[in-house]
Amino acid sequence: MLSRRAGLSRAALLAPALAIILAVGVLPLGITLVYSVLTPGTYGGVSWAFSLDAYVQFLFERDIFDDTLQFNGAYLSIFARSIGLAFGATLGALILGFPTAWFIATRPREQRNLWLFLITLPFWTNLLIRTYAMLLIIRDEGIVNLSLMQVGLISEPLSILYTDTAVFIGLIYAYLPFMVLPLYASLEKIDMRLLEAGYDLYAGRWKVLRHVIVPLARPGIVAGCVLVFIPGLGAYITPELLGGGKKLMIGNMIAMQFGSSRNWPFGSAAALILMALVVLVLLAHARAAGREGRAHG
Amino acid sequence: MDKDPQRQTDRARQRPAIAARRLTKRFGPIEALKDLSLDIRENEFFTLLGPSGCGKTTLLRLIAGFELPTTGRIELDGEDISGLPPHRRPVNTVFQNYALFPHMTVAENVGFGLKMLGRSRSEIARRSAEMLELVELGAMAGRRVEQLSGGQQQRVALARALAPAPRVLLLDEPLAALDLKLRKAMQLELKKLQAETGITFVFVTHDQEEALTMSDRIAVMRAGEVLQVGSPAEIYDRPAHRFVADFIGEINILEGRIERMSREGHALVRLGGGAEIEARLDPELPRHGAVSVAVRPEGARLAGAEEAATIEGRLEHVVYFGSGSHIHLRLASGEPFVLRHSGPVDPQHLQPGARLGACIAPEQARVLA
Repeated sequence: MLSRRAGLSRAALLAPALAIILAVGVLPLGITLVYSVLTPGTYGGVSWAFSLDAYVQFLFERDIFDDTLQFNGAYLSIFARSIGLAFGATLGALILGFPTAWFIATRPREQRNLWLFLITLPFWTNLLIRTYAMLLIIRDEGIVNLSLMQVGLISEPLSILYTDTAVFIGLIYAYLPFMVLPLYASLEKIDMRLLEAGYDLYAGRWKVLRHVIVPLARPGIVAGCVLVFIPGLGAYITPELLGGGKKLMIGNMIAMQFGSSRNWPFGSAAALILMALVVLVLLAHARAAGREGRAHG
Repeated sequence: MDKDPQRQTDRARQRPAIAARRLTKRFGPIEALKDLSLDIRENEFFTLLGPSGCGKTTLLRLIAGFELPTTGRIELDGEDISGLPPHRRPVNTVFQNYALFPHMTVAENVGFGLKMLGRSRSEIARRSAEMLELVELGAMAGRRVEQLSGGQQQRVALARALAPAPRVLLLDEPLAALDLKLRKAMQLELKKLQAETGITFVFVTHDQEEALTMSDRIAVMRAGEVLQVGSPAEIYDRPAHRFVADFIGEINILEGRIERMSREGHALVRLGGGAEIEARLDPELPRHGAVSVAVRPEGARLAGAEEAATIEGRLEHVVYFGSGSHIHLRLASGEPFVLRHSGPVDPQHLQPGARLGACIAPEQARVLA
């Protein structure tokens, strides 16, 4: 009697969360999956005829005249570019984020929350607006170029905007807090006496960093990299605004399929391929974390 | 103590392993060390003893290089090392909470110092195995640190600090976290290890019993100053300072005034309650005025029925501790007095409030500076 009631109330408690997961997680995913195996409608949308063309199109081009398939690396290269940019941004965020997180972790305890608050402050403004602000800063007549010319370091403005560099800077800027926060969480837990033990045992600063701090901060480093790499990979606003929409990343390419290209099945297929990629990254992370856990447990 | 006079003179000729010269360390307004000078000899087990906040750990951290002196300098084998960072000083530390690296195995922990010194793989492996054998943890080499008990972690910390064969080993209250039985065992083991390795040990503790058991020499510290340096017996029998007398072991301190000197050169001191006690007096001390007389509980005994007692008091209570009892008296002056009694106590004569006398031989009483 009691156990059945407990079971019922458990179901009742879980129901809202389940409903939300179903409605905004599973259902759209199902729709995307279904759309990806249909034929594009002439004016957007889909027509209900089964076809795997969308997946074929990812790698091959169908000749208009004889229907033969020709290898086409265009989409693959967009994926490769995206991975490269996301990876570069992750690395950049790690290099900038590590000293930042270390700085915060070594402040007196009562000051740390203020610094963390400052790190999360950008989230108070919409990413779109922040990206526009970045655009104003790095454009040819922006603060960066003007001040560099004022100082006399350069005579011509550096063309940063609408290049990969701009996207790279934008991605680092947008996702840096996601790197700093998990790094801080890891670094903050390190017993500072271990550093003294390192110094005492003939390790200088860099050796202590390499042999003591980095290994102990590994969970934070991995988490931060995953948290920057994944959204970086699917970024839309940053490459759209700072890359000028000329140089596509996966996110823009997918958006384009649902917009001007009117190829919803291909957009859906590309989205699923991106998702598969992300799942692969997460699996690698989970395996690494599992190894870590076993090693420490 | 070294009994061999030849070796003792050899030792005296040697320059100290560690020499602190007029060291001062300030943390903001707090003066942790005040103009402190100290010699630590080659191959000795040297203990810095004092209550918390006396500066003993600060001194250790200055020797290790974790802190730099505000003024003064530290010499290692006659060479000024005050400005060197910790990783350039041939001294290693056993930390209070061991500070073992949790991401390494036991063997990796032990080999860390040698690895940082750039020694060859084979040398590191051989030396680590040797050190683990020394602390009887050879079977644990591949274990993770957190799989070990507190006592085992303690040994790993010891092996890790000894592996690079430091000139001086610094130990910062390394036994504080162990339970009593393990602590006693480790005390003997540390002493043995020091003798085997021949490395100079500088040991920090607030436990006077630990200091007496293990040390060749002890420096008693208070408020950033060294009050007395000497062998355990010297510190115990001839405390140079009232604080030292009070801090080391149990002691009775009675206030009085020197009346005159005896023919043997002892001071005759009139105590607050009117009794007169004969006490040793260092020749450099003044031979008059108000003084304190120190008597260890084992330096006094219960007076027999017909015997003339040195002091008298009323019994407060008896504390039995197996190998004997402490008899707590209240003297006429109101001062408490404890004496050690090792024979059986007749409960009939030991009713609270009973008048008891205590005999104190002149050698057992001592006028404090």
